[in-house]
Amino acid sequence: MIDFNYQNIDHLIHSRVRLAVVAVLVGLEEAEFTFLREKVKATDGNLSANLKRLEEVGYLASRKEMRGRKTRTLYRLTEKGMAAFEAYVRGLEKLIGK
Amino acid sequence: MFQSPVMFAGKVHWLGWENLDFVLTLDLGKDVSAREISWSTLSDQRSWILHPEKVACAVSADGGAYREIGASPAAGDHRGEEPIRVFPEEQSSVCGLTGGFSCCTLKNRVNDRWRVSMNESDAEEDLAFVRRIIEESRKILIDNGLNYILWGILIALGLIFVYFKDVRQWPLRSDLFWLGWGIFGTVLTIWIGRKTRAGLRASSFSGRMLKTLWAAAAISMVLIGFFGFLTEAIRVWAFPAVFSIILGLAYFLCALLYDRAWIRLLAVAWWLGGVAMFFWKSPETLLLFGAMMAAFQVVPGIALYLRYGKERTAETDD
Repeated sequence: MIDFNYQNIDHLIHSRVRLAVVAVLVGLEEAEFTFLREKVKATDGNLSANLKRLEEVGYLASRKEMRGRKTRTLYRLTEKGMAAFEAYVRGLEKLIGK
Repeated sequence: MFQSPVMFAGKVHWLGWENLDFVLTLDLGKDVSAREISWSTLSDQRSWILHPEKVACAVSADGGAYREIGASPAAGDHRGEEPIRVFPEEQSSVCGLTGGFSCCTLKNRVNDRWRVSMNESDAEEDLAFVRRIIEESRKILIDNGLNYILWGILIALGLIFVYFKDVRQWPLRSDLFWLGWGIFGTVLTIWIGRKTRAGLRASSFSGRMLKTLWAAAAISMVLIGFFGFLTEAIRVWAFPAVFSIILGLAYFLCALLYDRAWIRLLAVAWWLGGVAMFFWKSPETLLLFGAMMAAFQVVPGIALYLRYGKERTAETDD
């Protein structure tokens, strides 16, 4: 086991659901809530809470769009979120000596 | 109701306490990595069963000095409670020292602070997880192939028409025909785009790059075709050869975006066809170009369309 300073880990991303959300959005411009729910395999409530948390810290940005009579919410990763994700992955790679 | 823990019989087993705080101590025997700690509580007011007021989690290295790492207060007056609550509602709020650190081994007091270690295998697992998700999202469909099919058919039919028009000397200007044919194709493209956009729930950078790439290729071909014809700087039989070379370039870049080797082979086929047409110097190059359109544009378009349908079905099944 390698000692690791937990302060180097971004706690906001480290949660499995939030990590999955950020990883999905890394390769996309934006994605709908339902799309994220399928990819992350989370319940509506759980995903909503985690998306809200990521938005609060500025890692995600959202916008609402009307499509026909329905409103859909689209999420995208912000530059801050991208930087945090990259730092998180670098931290993991450092830990396993890559 | 109960002065001591009681195991209920039934499908789900519950433990009940009255006037007692419940403390569960788990001796794991060694330092372990824990990703999540959670437990469920039951509320059934008709049976005088209520959720706890607070759920807390503490850890210890020696079984003596415990340190609370998180707590989930169950606020409320127990009215309108869900029958079953899972604590913590947000896993990381309890499992982490500062609110988000859920994959950790908590051990060893050092200078009165808990030292947190992350297991190497956990990091590897997380990295593999991230890679898998990125790989999956990278494969998210960037195109349904319909435009390849549409333009392949339109251009192939147009070429056959122009060939026979020239051979049989029908009184129609080729440039005007292509202008009208191009406008017709553009209208169809916009219509298809609007129809398919409704089904898209995510957009990717690759998708936007792909559209930009094909728009640039189309504009280049229109400019070469229009001004090359107008100024007679390019001989009529050379147009298909020039367009083939441009299509080869477009397909080569497409292969990168789609991450498909067979698309790169299409680029080579377009380039070879273009070179062959430069040497052929005959009106029949129009027919060869039409045949290449069918083979190297319509057929790949159908393959992309089938793949698109298959992946959409897989997405729905997930």
